[in-house]
Amino acid sequence: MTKEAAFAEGYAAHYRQVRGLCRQLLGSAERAEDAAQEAFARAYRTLPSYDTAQPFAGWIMSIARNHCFDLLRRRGRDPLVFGTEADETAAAETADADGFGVVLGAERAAAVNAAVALLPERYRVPLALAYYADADYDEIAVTLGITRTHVGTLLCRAKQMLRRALAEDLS
Amino acid sequence: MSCPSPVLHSMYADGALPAAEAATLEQHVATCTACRARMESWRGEREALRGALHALDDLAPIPDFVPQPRQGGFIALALTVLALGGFSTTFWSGLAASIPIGLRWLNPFDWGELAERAVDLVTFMLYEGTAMWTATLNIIAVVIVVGFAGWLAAAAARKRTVVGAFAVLLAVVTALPSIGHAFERREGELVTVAADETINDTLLAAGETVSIDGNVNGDLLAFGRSVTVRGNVTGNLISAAETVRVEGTVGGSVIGAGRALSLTNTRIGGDLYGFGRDLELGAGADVSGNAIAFGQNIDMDGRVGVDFTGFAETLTIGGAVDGDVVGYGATVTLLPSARVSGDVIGHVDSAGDLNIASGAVVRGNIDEQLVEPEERRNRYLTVGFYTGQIVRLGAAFVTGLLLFWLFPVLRDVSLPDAGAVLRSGGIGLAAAVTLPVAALVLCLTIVGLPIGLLAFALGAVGLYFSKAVVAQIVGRRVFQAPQGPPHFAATLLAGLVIVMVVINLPFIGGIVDIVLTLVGFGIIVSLLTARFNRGSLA
Repeated sequence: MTKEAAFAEGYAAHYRQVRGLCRQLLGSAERAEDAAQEAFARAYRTLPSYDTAQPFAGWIMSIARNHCFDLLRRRGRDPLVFGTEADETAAAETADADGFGVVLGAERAAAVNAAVALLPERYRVPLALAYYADADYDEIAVTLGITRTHVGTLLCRAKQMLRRALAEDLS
Repeated sequence: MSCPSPVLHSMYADGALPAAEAATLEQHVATCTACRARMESWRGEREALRGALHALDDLAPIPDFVPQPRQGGFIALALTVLALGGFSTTFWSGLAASIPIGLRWLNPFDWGELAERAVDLVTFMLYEGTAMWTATLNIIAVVIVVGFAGWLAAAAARKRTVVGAFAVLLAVVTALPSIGHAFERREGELVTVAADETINDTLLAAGETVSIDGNVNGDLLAFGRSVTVRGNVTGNLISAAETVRVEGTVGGSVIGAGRALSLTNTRIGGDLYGFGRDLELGAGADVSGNAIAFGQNIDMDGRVGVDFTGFAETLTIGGAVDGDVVGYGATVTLLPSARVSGDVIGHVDSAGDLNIASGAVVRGNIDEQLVEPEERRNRYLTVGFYTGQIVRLGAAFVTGLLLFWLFPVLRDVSLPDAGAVLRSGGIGLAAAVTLPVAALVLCLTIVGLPIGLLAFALGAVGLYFSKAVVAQIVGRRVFQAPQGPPHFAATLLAGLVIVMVVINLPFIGGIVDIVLTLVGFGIIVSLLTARFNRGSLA
């Protein structure tokens, strides 16, 4: 199969997934559309160096992810900073951090997505990588340049904040 | 043993705890109610989160992928084509023949005539217009014309505010440094020169409304939405606006461009160059030199001291011309009040379109030259017509293939609804009007002559390719093959055949030809000006 054909096929098959990842990482549906288009445009430009044996999905998702990181860095605020492991652990262990009583359920998808979009970047990014892109802890640690345990702490904090947000939503 | 931190619970729920630590946690949970409750409630969260995050994926449709157009490539293609074919007159006449007749008045692309005109203008400028063309004004004129053309296009085609585009023009004009030649600048929403005011300098006036009632001892450059000159200008007047009214006296020449350009009760010591949609030279207007006008409707009721040349859809002359009258247009009419001392030459579409009313006085010869010989009625009966069309089809197909091979983006454009068709047509029309106007004015400036001619040529090439682009869209619409999209060559050929048949139909063929060309031209212009086009051109 020619690279052009592989690209066309990959575009149709994976566009929604790429756009979804961008939406989760950037926290905005409109920016996600532009980011997804830009990711595929970049992929198209580097198509000559793409190895057809390599799975398309992984390739395009990593291009999209890197583009989103660039966008997040460029947004003017501090570059992606994930706090210190110690601070995050301490925050996770405060008395009512867990937000007991509310469980993250799939039937409240809209509310969950809205809450995720409002999370600070340092929680939203690992969350998106873990639960949308299905990356495991080691992959996330390498991508973000932090330790495995730090990843665990951030994900724990992310889920705690989501539970709180949903609890407030309900009440 | 104290309860493990929530972090460990969270990692356990994600399946990310190493086996040993997981076992330790499970042992603790067996004995701790609180931790067991936590573990139970967090157990299904991973799956739940995954489901929730993916739930909104399918809502929005997938846009078409359009790889970024290579603007430089189109220029390169056009230049190559020009370089290869540019020296052959067959090439130019073939190109000119493919431009629909109805658009020809916009593109006086009769190569021989155009070259003659250009030479006439250039020599005229050299010998009688040197006072006007200082180096400063050359540069200013080029920049202003480009800005004006952009303003026209923006106003007509986009919905962006006219004021916004106008602001760009204003910025361009006011940002120009005064190169050696110092002149006065006045800008603002309302720019006026009072009746008792005298400006001893060249004046540059730019604003929404420009009203000059006083005297300018120098040149006057006026731009804006509405320009009215009632006072006296000893030098030249260069003006571009939506409406330009000249009611005063101008010692030098007048170059005016606008939607409506009217000269009433004015005396112009030099020449008049007018560009616009509706041009009017009122009964009291007096031009001592030549008058050259380009427009849609031209009404000449005043007096011209030397020759009058008009390019228009309808050209009506009711005044006096001390030299020759040369008119290009669909209809050229001389009213009973017309008095022409020289010849009257009308280049019209068909016999009878040059009307000399009884009462009009023409001292020289009257010559009606037909632009297109009257043999349309019989052409369907000749074999030559069909072979000619097949040759044209072949040429369009080959060049179209080249175009789509070089610019894949053009293969996939589509016009999903009537709105998109209208928009593209509008853009095409705006571009087709502003391009020759801008190019011609560029030709007037000695510096810009090669650029102007190049702009003409590029525009013609673009118009030529317009039908290939439209043919491709039509072909794709028609070819709904179940096994996936057909090759672009097949759709191009199918589309071209359909287009060729349609544009050669009697009566409606001409109009359809114009519409298709404008739509295709609009698509090309849109793609060239868009940085990145997402989805179809809707």
